[in-house]
Amino acid sequence: MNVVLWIIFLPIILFVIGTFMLGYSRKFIARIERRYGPPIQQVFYDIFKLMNKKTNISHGWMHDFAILMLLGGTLLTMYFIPVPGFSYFAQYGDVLVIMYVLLIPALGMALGVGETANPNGSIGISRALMMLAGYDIPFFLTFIGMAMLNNTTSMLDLIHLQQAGGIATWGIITNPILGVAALIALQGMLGEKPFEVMVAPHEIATGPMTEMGGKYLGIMMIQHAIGVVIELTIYINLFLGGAVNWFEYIVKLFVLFTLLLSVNAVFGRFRTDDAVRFMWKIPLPLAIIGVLFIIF
Amino acid sequence: MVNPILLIIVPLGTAFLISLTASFLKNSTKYLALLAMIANVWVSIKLLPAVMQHPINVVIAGVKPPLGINLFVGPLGAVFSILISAAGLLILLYSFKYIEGDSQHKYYTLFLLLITGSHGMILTGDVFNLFVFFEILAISSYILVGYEGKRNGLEAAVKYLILGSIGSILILVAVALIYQEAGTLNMADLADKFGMIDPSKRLMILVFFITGMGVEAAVFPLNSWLPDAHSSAPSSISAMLSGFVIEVALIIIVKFVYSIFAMTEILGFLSLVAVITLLVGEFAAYKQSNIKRVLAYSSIGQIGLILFAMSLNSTDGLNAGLMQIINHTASKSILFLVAGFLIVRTGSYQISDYRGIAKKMPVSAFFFVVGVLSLLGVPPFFGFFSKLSVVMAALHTGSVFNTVMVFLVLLGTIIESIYFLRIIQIMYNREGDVGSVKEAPFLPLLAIAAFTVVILAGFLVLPQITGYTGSVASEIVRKMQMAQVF
Amino acid sequence: MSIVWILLNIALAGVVLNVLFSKSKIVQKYVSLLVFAGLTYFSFIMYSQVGEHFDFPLQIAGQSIGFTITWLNYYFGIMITGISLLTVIFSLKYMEGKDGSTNYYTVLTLKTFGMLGVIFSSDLITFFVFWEIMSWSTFALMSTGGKEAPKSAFKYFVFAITASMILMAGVVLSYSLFGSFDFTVIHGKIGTLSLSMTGFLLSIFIVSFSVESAVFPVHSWLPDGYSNTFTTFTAYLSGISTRIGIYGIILFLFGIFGMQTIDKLSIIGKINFRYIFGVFAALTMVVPTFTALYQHDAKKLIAWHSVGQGGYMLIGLASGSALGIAGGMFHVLNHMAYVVLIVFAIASVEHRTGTTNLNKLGGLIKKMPVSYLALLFGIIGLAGLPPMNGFVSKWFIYRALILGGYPFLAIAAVIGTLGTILSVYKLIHNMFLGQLPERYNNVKEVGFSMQLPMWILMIVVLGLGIFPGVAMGLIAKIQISLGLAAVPYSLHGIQTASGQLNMMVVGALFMGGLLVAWIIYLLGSRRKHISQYNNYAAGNFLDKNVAYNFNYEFYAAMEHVIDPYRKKIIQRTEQGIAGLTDAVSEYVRRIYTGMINTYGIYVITAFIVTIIILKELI
Repeated sequence: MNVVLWIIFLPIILFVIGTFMLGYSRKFIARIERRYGPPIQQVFYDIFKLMNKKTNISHGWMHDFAILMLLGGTLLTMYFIPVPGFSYFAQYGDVLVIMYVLLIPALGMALGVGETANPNGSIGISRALMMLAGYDIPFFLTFIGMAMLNNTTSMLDLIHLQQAGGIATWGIITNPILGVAALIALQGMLGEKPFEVMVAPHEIATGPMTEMGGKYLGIMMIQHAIGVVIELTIYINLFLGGAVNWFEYIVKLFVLFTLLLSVNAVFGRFRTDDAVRFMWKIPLPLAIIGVLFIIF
Repeated sequence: MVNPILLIIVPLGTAFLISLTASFLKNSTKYLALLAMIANVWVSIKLLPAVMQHPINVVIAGVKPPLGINLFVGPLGAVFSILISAAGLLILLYSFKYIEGDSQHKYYTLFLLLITGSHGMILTGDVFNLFVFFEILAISSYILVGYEGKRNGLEAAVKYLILGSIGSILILVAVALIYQEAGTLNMADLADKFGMIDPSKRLMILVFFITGMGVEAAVFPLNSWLPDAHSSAPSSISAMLSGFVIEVALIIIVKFVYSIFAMTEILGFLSLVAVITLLVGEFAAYKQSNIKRVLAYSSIGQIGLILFAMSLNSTDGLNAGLMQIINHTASKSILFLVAGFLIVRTGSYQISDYRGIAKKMPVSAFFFVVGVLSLLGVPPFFGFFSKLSVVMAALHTGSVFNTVMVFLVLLGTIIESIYFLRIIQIMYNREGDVGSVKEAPFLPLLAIAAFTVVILAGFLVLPQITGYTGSVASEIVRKMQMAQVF
Repeated sequence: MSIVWILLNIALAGVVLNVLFSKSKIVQKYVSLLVFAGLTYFSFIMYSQVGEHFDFPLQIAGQSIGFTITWLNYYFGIMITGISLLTVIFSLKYMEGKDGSTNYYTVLTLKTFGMLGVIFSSDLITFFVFWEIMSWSTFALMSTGGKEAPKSAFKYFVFAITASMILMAGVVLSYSLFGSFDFTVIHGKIGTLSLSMTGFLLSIFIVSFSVESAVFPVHSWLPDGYSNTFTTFTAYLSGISTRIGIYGIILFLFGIFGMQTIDKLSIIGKINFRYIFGVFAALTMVVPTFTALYQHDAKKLIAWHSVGQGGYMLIGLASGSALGIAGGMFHVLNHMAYVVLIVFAIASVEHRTGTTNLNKLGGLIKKMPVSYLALLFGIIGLAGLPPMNGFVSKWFIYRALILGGYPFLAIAAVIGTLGTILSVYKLIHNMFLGQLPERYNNVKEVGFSMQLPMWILMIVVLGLGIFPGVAMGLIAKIQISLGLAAVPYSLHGIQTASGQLNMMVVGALFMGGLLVAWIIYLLGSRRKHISQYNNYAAGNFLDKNVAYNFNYEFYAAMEHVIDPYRKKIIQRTEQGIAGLTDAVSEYVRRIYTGMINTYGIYVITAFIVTIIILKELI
């Protein structure tokens, strides 16, 4: 019964947290830029407005289905990630599963955007995929290191091991090099500056979102809210000892997010090749060094 | 029981008969040659079972060896007789359509003399007679190489003549030395007495004999006449020269080294020479654009392979070498005979001119492919089993030297497959067009088909074949003894 | 009568009938269909005879030779016949009116015959004989098709003949070491060999099989060879033909040499035979996958992936753990299913549009939805994303590598996967998405006989993804029969002490997620379909004359990053070897000057040298 309740309410809870975090990020950036910024619940308004649009244009069935795949895939990922109090599904799939189901929404979006027949969208996808190759390699390597260290690929086990030993056994403490490498990769994964090549509003008219409007864009925003939380949670679970209760969880989410936003706020955008090159030149060697430390 | 001397007498006699009757029989003399060859095949097949029981020794003119001269027919003689007469018969059939012109009787006379010489060399039990038959073989082949009377044919014939004569002289010196030192020319007697000769004399005899015979056996670097001669001779003659003439010379060397001189300590040197011959042949063939030169160089490579197998100093090796000889006779004959009509039909020796010829000459092209596959040793053709036996025999010796040599041999095979495949690809090219080219006539195709059957069906009668070659091998490997012969 | 005989005789009869009826394509078609249906049926029911042995009525060197049925070759047998049958069904329509298709079914049957012989053989001689038949028929297969086909087939041939010769040396060497050709006899005696000899013999076999399975750095024949022939052959070749090399590797590594023997072959610490093998496998995954990124021909792109995916199978085997080996073997099946599906989709597009050039296609999803769906299933499998089958086997492999302590091999696998995702998206995008060129406005979906194999394979790809237990049962039997530990599998995945995988849960949650998303989607007002020209164009106007598409140099930035690292070492080495051979040949040719005086000198020199050398010997 408990599980059923969690299944129903987990997406809603994460959605709420996610929208507030996105709202918070807009406010946070605005304040750094000495603007007032929109209210923190602005993302809610946006989604509500978009879902109520009368005209919803579509370029074909894949365009429609992509939206479902985008949100469906994100929900799928979400259930595999242990959050405080709920880790029922986490036993059926490990971090490898999470890493790969995380790509399903990306693929869904890519296919849908492809069908919209807008080159801006295609360019955006091309950039997104190249970035994927950039950040996922170091990220995976840090995860491989953590898994080797603890001799498990299960995220649940990784959390338990960190929580059992207290703060001294947190991934970021035991393996700071891997932690830093993963943090940089995470910045890329979230698509924050300086790795914001995919959307790049000034260059390619928001890329994948170019032909998305109405409820399509609305669902994309819902997905984005949940997606941000998921990606941050993966990092928290791997390196920051997970969370015992929701308060700790939310605090960790916001602290981590703020850290990444601060970087976002002070950087411009890399060119795609530079972004990929950066990923392969800084976090990747860091991760390799970290793994070498673990081996020897 | 048939008398093995028929194998020599019949073709020799028919050759004379042809010259005598040429003035009124004209080109019909070829049927005489056909009869002679059929008789030869019949005799050699009849001989085989008898010889397998017990070697036959024929004393000529009633004077017993070591004073008189004799024929000695062991399994070696019998098997080679079949090889020579069967290949000869098929090539003769091919020649019926291939050789044209008015003075065909010359061709058939020389053809039969070549057969006579080959049989004689294999069967004789006397060293001097060996020289005589060698001369018959050599002289008839010089003339046959230049038979077409074209410029490059004559040039090749002259080169062949000069080098062949050097070879003959060397053999003659060896024969003289043998007589001087051992006091006998009978092979079995010589085998008994050879060990008693002074080592330095033995060395000289050996070297004179091997280098002399090596010229005809196409061992590197004595084989320089071969590419020219084999490529400019009429294709039927190329088939004979490649198919059994060089093998006969080679088997004589092997026979002398093993069973008469009994000097197996030089076999290591021979196998090194063999592998060099193989690699030189294959690499030289690699870049050729003239089809007959490719085949000629490939023969050099194959001779190297055969000599390598035979110089392993084991019965297995000899056995494998003999199987490889059978394979080479069949497959190289196919290739030369097919090439003959490719050249006749297109008027060109250049491989690049055969682009897409398989559409016009499908049967010939098919035979060519079969010949190539067997030559390369692709299963399930006969060549696979012979090549496998060679490699098995070599690796079975367990020596590092032979293992390295095997890898070089296999390298040679790779090179060989590449250049042959290139030819096949050109022949089967879909875009190519060779104009209005006709398929080869029926009779030559029939002859080629018979060779193909040997290759294709070879593996079905493999136990029988290895049975025969096995007894040949054990004959060679055993030292000849006067007492055994009589 | 044993089923192996029935199988081989049917295949051989198929070859003969195809040759006999080479004039009538209709007869050829249906004869082949019948033959392959028969083959498939008999190979599937073969499990009842597993463990039996059948001798040839012929002996080589006093050894009886023949065939045997084991779980391993049963597994490969059903793959071969199954995929051949689908290929034939697909070809019925595809090959209609194509040039140079006279020998199409003949070579296909011959090739199948050779492969079946290889996998069922129980001794080295039979193995080698059928191996050669297989290589030559592969050559014949590759030579059919486009203008460039003979040239690339030739390249394959050079590699294959070299591998064959090495294999022959290995076969004969084993015989002289063990006195037998029989696999089980050799397996029994393998422990008696010295370590260095074991290593040498194993290396001979592995190197020779590496050529057929296109392991880096001897892979370069594959992409051109596979992509220049008929597209259906591309499917058949990448699906199963290359994997016979993997079969050889599995057989020799685990069936003949055995895990214990291999693990003795250690150089220093962890650097043992398996590790070195794993490094080559890793290079096979990474290098070809990134080369695929540069391709702008769909067939060539997939052919490069065919090389890359082989690396996953090999690295799974190299990991040496039960999970990794199971993953490697499972990946053979999975790869076969999705790669054939992908190539069939490409072939469908080629059938309708006449091109596979990725720069010229686009937007075909509107015209060919089934082919699109087939390609989509295929690429999800290829990229290894859940819930398709490719994910499961890759998951096994990653896990085996991570827990086995091979982090850098594991990351190579990840790099390979990411490269794959990039290039498969390019594939599907450039063919089916984006703007539909005006000239393809009248393109129709392919007919039923071409759709059927695609539907079947889609079911297989998804089915094996959700129910991997179906195949894992067989693989566990193989592992036990090879003396390895088996993976504790369930119908939906695996269950070990250190974590489990349940694909049913993944699938169900995905379905649930889609349902929720669909409900949210329905909350909004109805959608309206619009034309592809009704699009954002920064205020400009679009119509059919405006090329408004992004497909040329899809990953320009990535190429920019990778370019400095592409050294083309392999290509240069190959050219170097070819050049060296030419040079040696040219030099050797000049020995035969044609001048009689030099020839005389040769004879005299030879005479003197012989005297000198023989003097030392006697």
